[in-house]
Amino acid sequence: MTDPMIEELLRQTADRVEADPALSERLRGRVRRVRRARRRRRAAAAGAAAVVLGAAVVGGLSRHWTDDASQDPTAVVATQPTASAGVSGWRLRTAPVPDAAAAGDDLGMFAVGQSAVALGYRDGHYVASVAATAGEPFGSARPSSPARLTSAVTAVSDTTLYLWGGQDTARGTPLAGPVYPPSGLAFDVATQTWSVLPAAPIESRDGAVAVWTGDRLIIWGGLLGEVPSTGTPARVRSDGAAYAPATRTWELLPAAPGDGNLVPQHAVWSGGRMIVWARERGESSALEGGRTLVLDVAGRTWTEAAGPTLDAAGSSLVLTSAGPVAVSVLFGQSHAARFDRATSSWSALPGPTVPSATICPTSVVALLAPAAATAVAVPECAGGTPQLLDAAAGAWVPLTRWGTGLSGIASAGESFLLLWKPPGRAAPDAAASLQVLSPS
Amino acid sequence: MGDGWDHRPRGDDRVRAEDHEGKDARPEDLLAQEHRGADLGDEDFERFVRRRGRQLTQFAYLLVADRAQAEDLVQTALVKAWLRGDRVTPAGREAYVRRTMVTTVVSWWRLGRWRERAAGVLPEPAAAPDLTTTVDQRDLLLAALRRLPPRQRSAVVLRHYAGLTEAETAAVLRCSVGTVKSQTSRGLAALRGALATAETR
Repeated sequence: MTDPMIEELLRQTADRVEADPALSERLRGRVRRVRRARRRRRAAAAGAAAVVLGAAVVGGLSRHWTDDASQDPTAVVATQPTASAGVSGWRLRTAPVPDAAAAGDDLGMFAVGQSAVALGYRDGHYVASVAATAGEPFGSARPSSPARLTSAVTAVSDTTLYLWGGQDTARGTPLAGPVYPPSGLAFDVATQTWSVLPAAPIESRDGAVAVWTGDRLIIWGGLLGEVPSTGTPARVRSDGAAYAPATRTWELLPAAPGDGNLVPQHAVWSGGRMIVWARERGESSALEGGRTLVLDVAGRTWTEAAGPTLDAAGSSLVLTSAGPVAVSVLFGQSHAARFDRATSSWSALPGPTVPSATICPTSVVALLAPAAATAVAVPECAGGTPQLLDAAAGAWVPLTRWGTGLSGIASAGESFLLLWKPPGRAAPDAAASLQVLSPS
Repeated sequence: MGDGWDHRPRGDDRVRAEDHEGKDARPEDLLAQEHRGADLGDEDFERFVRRRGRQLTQFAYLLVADRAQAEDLVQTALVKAWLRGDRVTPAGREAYVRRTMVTTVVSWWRLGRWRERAAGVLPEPAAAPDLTTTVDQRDLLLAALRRLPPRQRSAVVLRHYAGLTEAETAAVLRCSVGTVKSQTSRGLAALRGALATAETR
C-alpha cells in the first residue's frame, strides 16, 4: 500500500466523524464552569482576610481522617465537611516518580493547576516532567534551551511554571564574581513546552521573590553578589517589575520604601496586594530586623510595617483564609505569626510542634487555597506529625490520623498536596518517592 | 485602568517581546507576540470552533481511534485553548490545540487507557470485495493506529492526514525533523504491514 493510498484511507476513516452540532455549546458550558470556579476562588482570595476558618472545619478535618492500611499502595481515605471548598473526601496515595536519569538534578516538585511538575537540571538545561493530573505517571522530560543558571526564583500560575533570575554558573568565577544574564523561562504545562520570557527592565539577580497575581508575574528585590576583583561588595536591589503574559511586556514597579537595605525572604499575593516579608541586610541574626512591605497594586503604592519577629532560617510564608501566616522552624524551635492587613501588624502564634531529638525541616503550605485556605505543617523527615493551623483558636492541631509516615517536601495545589522526597534525601542511596493527597 | 495598573506606554519602562526573543520562542507563534488590544473574546473562539471543530475532532479520532474518546480529547484541548484567551494568537490557535491533543494523548497512553484495546485482535476482513471492504479497511486502519505508540501515531496523522510539513510536525511534537522522519517511516511501515497482513488472510 502506497503513502497516497494510506493518506486516502486516513481521510476516509476520519470522514466517519461528523461535526458535533453541540460542540460549541458543550465547550461554552465547560468554560463557563471553569470561569465560575475561578471567580469564586478569586473572590475568596480577595476576601481572605475577612474569612476566618472555623474551628468546626479544622476539627472536622482532623476528626474525619481515617487510616486504611489495607490498601496498597498506602492509602488514607478521608472525608471532611463539604463546606470546605466543596470537597467531600480525600485520599492519600503513593504516586509514580519521574525518571531520575532523564530529570537530572532535582530542583523541586510543583503543583501547577491539577498537574504535578518535576523540575530538574541536566547538562545545562532546566528539565520539566509533567504528570497531567497529580498522581498519574510522569511524561517524558522536557529540556529548556541551554540555561546555565542557578538560584532562579519560581512562581506558578494555573497553567505555567515561571523561572526568573539567577547566576550563570558557567561564566561566573570566584574572582570576578557572579554573572547575571537576562533570564526568564516559562513552562506551559498543557503543551509541555518551554519559552523564553522577554528580558525584564531590571537586572537579573539572586534572592528575588516572585508571586503570581492571576494575570501577572511580579518580581521584587534581591541581591547582586560581590566582585572580589574590584572590591565591589554585594549590592541589595530594591526594584521590581511585573510581567504580563497576555502582552509579553514588563512594567517597572514603583519605588519601594526603605533605604535600599531590605532583602526579601518570602512574598504572597493576597487581595490585590503583594505582601513581602523582608529583612534588613546585615541584621540576619536580629529578630527585630524583620520588615513587611505591602504593594497596593491598585494604588501603585507601597506601605511598610514592622515585623515579623521571626528567624528567617527555616521559614515559610503562606496565605491562609485568616491572612498571611509566617512560620519559622529551626533546630527544634518553632514560632509563627499572622499578619493583619487592616492594622498592618503581626500577632504572635505558637509554632507547630517539631521533633526536638533531631533536626527536621518542616514544610508549611496552604491547603484548600484559596477558599478555605489553612496552613499545614508537614515534616520533611519521618517521625514528625503533620499539623493543621486552627486559625480561630490560634493553635496547631496534630493530625495524628494522617500517620507518621506522611512526610516530605510539600507543595500545594488548589485542593491537593504533593509530598516529595527527592532521591538520596532520606539516605544517600534512597529512592525518590511521591505521595499525593487529593480529593477522592 | 480598573485593575490598578498603568497601561500607558512609559518609554524605557516597557520592554517588547520581540526585542529579546530567545531561540526557545515558539516557532509557530503559539503565544501572542504582541498585544492586540482587548481579549479576543468568546465569540471569536466560538467561530473558530464552528469553523474547525469537525476537522479537529477528526484529527482527534485518528489519534485515539475511538469516537467517544476523540470527543473527550478535542473538548479538553479546546477548553484549555479557550481559557488561555489572547495568550494564544488566532494564527497559533489550531497548532496549540493540536499540540495539546498530542501531549494529552501521550499522557493517556502512559496511563494505559488504551492498552486493553490495543491488545485486542484485528477485526476479520470481509469475504467479498464489495463496498464493505472500504469500511473494513477503515476498521483495520484504526486497529493498526491503536497499536502504534502515540508519538509515532501522531507523526503519521500530522504528516499524512493534517498535511503538515516535517518541520511543522517537528514543531508540534517538539522534536527534531530527523525524529519526525524516523517516527513517520516506522509508523507507516507498521500500518502497511498490518493492512497487508489482513489483506492476505
